[in-house]
Amino acid sequence: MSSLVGAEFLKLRTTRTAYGFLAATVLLTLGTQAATFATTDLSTKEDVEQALAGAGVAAALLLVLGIVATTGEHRHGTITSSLLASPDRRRLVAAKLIAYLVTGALLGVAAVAVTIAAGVPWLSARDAPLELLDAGDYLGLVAEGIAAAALSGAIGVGIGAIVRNQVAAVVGALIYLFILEPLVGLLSSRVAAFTIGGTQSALTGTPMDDALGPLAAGLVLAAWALALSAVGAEVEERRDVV
Amino acid sequence: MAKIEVRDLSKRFGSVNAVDGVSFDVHPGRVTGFLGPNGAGKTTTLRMILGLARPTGGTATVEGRPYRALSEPLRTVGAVLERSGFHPGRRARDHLRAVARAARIPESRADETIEIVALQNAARRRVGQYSLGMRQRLALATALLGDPRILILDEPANGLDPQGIRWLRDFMRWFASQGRTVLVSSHVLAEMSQTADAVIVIARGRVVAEGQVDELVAGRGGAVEVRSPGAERLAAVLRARGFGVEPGGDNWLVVTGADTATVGDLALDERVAIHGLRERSASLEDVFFELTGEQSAPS
Repeated sequence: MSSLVGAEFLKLRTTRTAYGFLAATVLLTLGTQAATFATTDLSTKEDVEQALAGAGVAAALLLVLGIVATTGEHRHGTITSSLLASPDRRRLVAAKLIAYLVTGALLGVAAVAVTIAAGVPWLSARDAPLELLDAGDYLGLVAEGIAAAALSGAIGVGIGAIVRNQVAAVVGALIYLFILEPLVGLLSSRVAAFTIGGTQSALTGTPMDDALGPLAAGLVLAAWALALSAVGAEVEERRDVV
Repeated sequence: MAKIEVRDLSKRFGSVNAVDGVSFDVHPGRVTGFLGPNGAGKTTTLRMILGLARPTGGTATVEGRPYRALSEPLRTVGAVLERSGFHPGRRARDHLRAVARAARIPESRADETIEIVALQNAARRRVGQYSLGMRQRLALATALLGDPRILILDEPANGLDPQGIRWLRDFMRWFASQGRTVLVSSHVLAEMSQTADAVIVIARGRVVAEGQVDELVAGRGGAVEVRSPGAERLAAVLRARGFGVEPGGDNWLVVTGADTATVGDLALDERVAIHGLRERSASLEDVFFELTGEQSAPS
């Protein structure tokens, strides 16, 4: 198993895709945080915490990266050599799951680090009440950001294993996340709290009404990741590779 | 013992029987050609042997086990498939390293196999810049990573230039001469007749012939070609004896069912001059077209 995970990391490191996503994560995180700082009134502890919880963009991008990497094997035909080397498809999906959990965690760290490194000086210059946050609060921000990004990467792997067509999987996931789930939110904010987007936003500083607490949100997001990956592994196991 | 055993293998796609009850054995120490026209079911059969597609019925085993149950698949079988692909942005050497790592093969094999297929100068280029022939070489390098005992090649000559094809032929012969097993599919007969020791011919999803190339060719009647200024008279005499005669143009006749001695003796009896007499053996191509019911391609 460790060799399979190692192979996934090697694949990830040897194309430009991951570096593109890293650059996009840093730049878009800085951009959205700048917009947040500029437009939000930062007076309470919650305001400051939410302004510094910068992994929302990373989570969305990681989900796309997981999909792109998994479906890319079918798109480019590398799935053939992957499966000849590792005919057990469940193990292959599991290896990808681990690899993209770790990758997501790393990009999550990058996103949170960028946000805090850029945000703290900016916020203190604007006299935001930074003193209300203690070390534990910062630790919480980091942990939540890492969890959101890591689990989103894993969800991407699951979706990519279920829907092999890269364009269909990415477009479908974006439509689901940014159109269907918000519609659910309009109907019932309680149900929306349990959706992928609802739990992601609870972990990344943009909680909606009725949002779950960080721990509960993390567990629900983990359940999504596990369920989608399990379905993806079973689907891959049964389907022919052409 | 056969290295690859296929028994009653079938694959249905909707209402189409792409592979329809195929059985054959592939033995070590020789090159076995897997021949058939495009669409005959060759690729589908190979994909089922390699565990990439699930049979509708029947079994395919490699060294006695289904591919998916092999403990060290890449050390057992190396495969080049028509649609095996590469990420265009990945360097050739990195592709090999990743496959090696997944299969727990030392990554030094990446450089060794690059040398075997003579891609040293392009090993660090991204595969997107590769020509079709270079990609084919890289696919072969991937197949050789595990120094396997069996090679399965699906139309490996596609995209290779004449030197590449000759090199590949020598390579397959060398590989088989070490007591290892080669199963190579092709729809191009010319290359196979010079390479394969044994062939399996498949058409419309069924095996239509299997055996050593020389046996298959010998079992089919060759012909005698004779040239005579009295061709018409000679033809009439030969027909009267029950031999098949076709005009070959320019006073040539193509006689089936008789050998050269019979034709020569008859000509002497009839006092017909002979200006040319030669034996024409059936080619693998003749046999192939006869068996598959395909027309030979217009040249």
